[in-house]
Parts: sequence; C-alpha cells; structure tokens
Amino acid sequence: MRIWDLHCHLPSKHMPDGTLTEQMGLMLEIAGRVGIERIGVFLRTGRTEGPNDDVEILRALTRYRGRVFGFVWCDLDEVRQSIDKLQRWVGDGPMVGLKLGGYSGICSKPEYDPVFEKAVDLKAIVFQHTWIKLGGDPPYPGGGNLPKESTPQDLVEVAARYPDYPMICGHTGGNWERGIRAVRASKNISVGVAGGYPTRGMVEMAVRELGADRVIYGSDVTGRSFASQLGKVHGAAISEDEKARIFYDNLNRMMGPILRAKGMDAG
Amino acid sequence: MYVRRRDFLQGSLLSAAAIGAGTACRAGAAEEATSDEARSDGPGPIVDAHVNLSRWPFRRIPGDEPAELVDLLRAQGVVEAWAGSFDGVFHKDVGGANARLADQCRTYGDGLLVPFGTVNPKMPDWEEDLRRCDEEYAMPGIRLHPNYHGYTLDDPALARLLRLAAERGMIVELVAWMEDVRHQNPLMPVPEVDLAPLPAVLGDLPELALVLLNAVHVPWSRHLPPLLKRPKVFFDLARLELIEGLAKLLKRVPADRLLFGSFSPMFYFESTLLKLRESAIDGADARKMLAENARGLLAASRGKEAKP
Repeated sequence: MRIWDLHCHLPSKHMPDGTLTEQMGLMLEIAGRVGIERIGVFLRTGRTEGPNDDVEILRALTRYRGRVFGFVWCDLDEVRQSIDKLQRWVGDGPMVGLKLGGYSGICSKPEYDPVFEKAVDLKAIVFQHTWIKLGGDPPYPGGGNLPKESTPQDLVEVAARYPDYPMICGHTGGNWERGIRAVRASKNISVGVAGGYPTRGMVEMAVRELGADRVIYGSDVTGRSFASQLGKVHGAAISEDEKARIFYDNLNRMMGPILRAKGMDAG
Repeated sequence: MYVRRRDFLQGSLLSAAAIGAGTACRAGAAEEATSDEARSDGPGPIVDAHVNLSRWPFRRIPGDEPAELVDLLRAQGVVEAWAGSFDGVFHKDVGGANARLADQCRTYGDGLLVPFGTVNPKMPDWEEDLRRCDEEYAMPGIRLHPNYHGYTLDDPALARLLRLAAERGMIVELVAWMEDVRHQNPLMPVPEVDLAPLPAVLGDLPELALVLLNAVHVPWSRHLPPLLKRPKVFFDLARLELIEGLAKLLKRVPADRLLFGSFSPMFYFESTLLKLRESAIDGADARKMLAENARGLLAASRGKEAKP
C-alpha cells in the first residue's frame, strides 16, 4: 500500500542538529521504515542567514525533489507578504502548497481572501490548521483556542467562497467528533487526520460521515510520531480500498494539477 | 496462578496487519516489502500491559465488545493482555465493576485477558475491593485512576493502598491520563495526574511493583529521573509521541523499565506497535518491552516462575 504523508514539520529541535537538507534526509529515512514514500513538509521561509535560510530551503527541496512536497507557511495578517511568498515559493519555486497554522490568523476574515485567491490561482494545496480546544470558565469547546487559531467552522466559511477548490481541514478540528460534523456539508473540504492522539474510531467516523475520499493521512511529525498516526489508518475498521485512498489516492489526486503544472512526478 | 499463558507465536508482531498492511522502505528508496519479508523478523509474542474492557461513556469504540477485543489482540500476536475496566473509572460500585471484569476475563479469550481490578481509595471500605481482587478473583494486580477518583498522589489513602497492595504482592497500575484535555466533554474535564509527589510516596515501598500507564508523552518528562531511582517502577508506551520517540526514550529509560501497553481499544493498537519499527528497535530490547518485562513482573508479583 502506498503512503504519502501530508503533514510534517522541519526544521526540528527533535531531530539531530544539522542543516535542513540533512534533517530532511533523515526524516525520509525514518518515514521509509514505516512505509512512507513521500512527505509534505511545512516550511517557514524568509530567513536570509543561518542554517535554515531560504537558500538552504531551496537546496533541500531541490535535493529531495519528488520525494518532499514543500508547503510555504504564511501569516494571514501579512496579506501582501503572504501573496509574495506564494508567488516566490509556489508560483516560481519548488513548493506546492500553502500552510496556515495555529497562529496564522482566523481564516474566515474576508480581508484575508486575497491570500486564498492567490493560492487558488497557483493551484496550491491549501492546508489550514484547525482546532476546537476545550477551555474557558465554564469550559466550552473552542474556549481554549489561541487568539489567532482557526476552527473548522472558519474554514467552512472560506471553502464556501471557493466551492470548486479543495481545501484541507488540518487535525480534523482536533476535537474530531465536532470537526467532522462541522465540515460535513462542505464537499470541497477534506480532513487531515494528523496530530492528536490515535483515538480509535476517529478514522471510522470520518469515513462514515465524509466518505473515504475526503480523508487524508498525515502525521504531524516531529511533535507526533509517524507510528501513532499511521496506526489510525492501519487499525481502522474500514476496507483496504478505503485505507489506500486515505494513505495515498486522495492526496495524489489533489496534488495532481500542481505537480503536473510544475513538471514534477505525480506518482 | 490465575493466568494461563498460551502461545500464539504464529501471530507475531510484524506479521500483524499493522505493519504487514503497510510497506517497508529502505533508507533512501521507497520500496514495497512483501508480506513474507514483513513476517520474517517478528520478535515474538506480545504481552499487552494496558487494555480496557467495557464501555467508555462518551463514545462507542470499535473493539469495545470483549470478543472483538480478544480477536483484535490475537490478530496482532498478543498472548496476554492486562485488562482494566472503564467501569472502574466511572462507577461508584467498584465491586460490581470488578466482578464483571473477572467474569469477562474468564469468559473471553481463553486466558488471554488478565484482570486488573479497580480500587478507589476514596470509597468506603475500599480495602474489601482490594481483598476481593486478590483473594476471590486471583487478580495479579490492580489499576488506579487518581484523577477520575478525585485524589492526589500525596493523599494518605494512596500510601496506605500501595502498602497493602505491596504486602499482597500485587502489581499496581496507575493511570496518569485517559483523554486529551483539549477535547474532553465540557461537563467533565479531568486533568492529568500530577506525578510529582510519587517518588516520596514510594520512599519506603521498595518492593512495590508500580506500572505507570499513559504517563510518558515525551521522553524528557521531568517525572522520569526521580521515578527511575525507584527499583520497580515501569512505564508503558501507548501515549509516547515524537519522531523516533521510542529511540529517544530508550536513551533516558532502560528497556528493562518499559512495557508494551497499547491502551486498546481506546487507542489503535497499531499506533503503539509501529513505534518499534519507526525507532528501528528490535532484538533484545524489543523482546523485553514486548513480553519479557511484563512476564517477569507478573511472576515476581506472586513469587512464582513464569511459564516459558
């Protein structure tokens, strides 16, 4: 069964010291032990010096072209800068996707639309971190979110503005029993199962409610392990065909347009 | 001895669906491994020190019927599983929960399930629950849930319970965590157990065999060094995360102190199993974690030799 991992982080303090290229090579080796062929890596750009500056990022992605998919990490509060980064790294460079994290801004705000429009224009994969964290007093779901952390419901609003464009709801909303329901009616949203503990039933519910074509495997290493996240799919009470779609087919299908546009091996 | 051990060697680790279902890639080049390749290096049978029977109250979990759980574990090469009960976490009638647990372990699995009854030292007459676990059900150990039962580890009741358990030669499994606090039911948030008081509590109980379940999320947990100074404190692997997390943990915790615990059915079994492959752990260390340590602990707890 082929496996592509949507969701990895580099550089990392959880790996031996080294350049980004060295860490990327090691990550691929570790991923290979558990059957993963290719990895999506979320990368912070903009450094002009140091071991992980833009030159090193370019070097690493060139070295591992075809085995590593780069996602450029953007801050929605910096609309102009984000558009420029997308053009430089996705439009003109080796990356394939847009990564929006837990500190990147509440994605549903209309003033951020130009960033999404640019990503759509470039055929970039759109990955939005989402969580619904318990917090507050008394506690309520979402009450513990970071000030600039999006929920699945925020992504639903964005997805409604681009109904023909696929988007990925990172972490399945974290609080996955809520997250799956939140995105269920938004047919252009897939869920990324990376991150969070490997609670049995998560993947089964996602497949039941969304269909296996809207579920994508990822790990969220290095903070998580490949193992714990692979187990979510390997161990799910679903068919082998459904596992194959989650591990590979769905991400491969989503990436097809941009990989072909860049002349990269589409797997 | 209550437990009848069985050999299910044909269901070894790497022949299991978990890893065999995937692929194995050599460093630098992704290549599919055949299932025969995957079967060739299985480290042998597994003793799972951390499973639960009955129902988690906030969702149905695939595998929460005892027959299903037994099938799931056997398919992965598990020959023995130390089973607690979700009922013991939540029910006030702990005696009833333990009676059902003992009955289900007798009924299902033909000796695969080893009951670890619950004792809640904040309940009246908890000493009787401990006695029944030992004398009536021949349980080799008990399981504690301090955060769900409302006490901290410096509570004198815990110290007394640990002493009585040690006197009976019972293993104590203390569960530090059951569910991510970030998505618990808002009506019932339960924080993780604070392990800080534990080394002092264990000070005069060197003979106590204590297994801390779901206590290690990252290898650099500040609780590990003082606890490792205690001679018979062990940890399971279910909650461990991080890339190559197990390899990193083994730099801080000797393999002699680690038990394979999957936290099934709450967690996917494969999630723990694959940690060995991700960290390229095999040979003696793998065998210790997968079975030998648990078997030794069980044998020592009752002063009897484990069957091979």
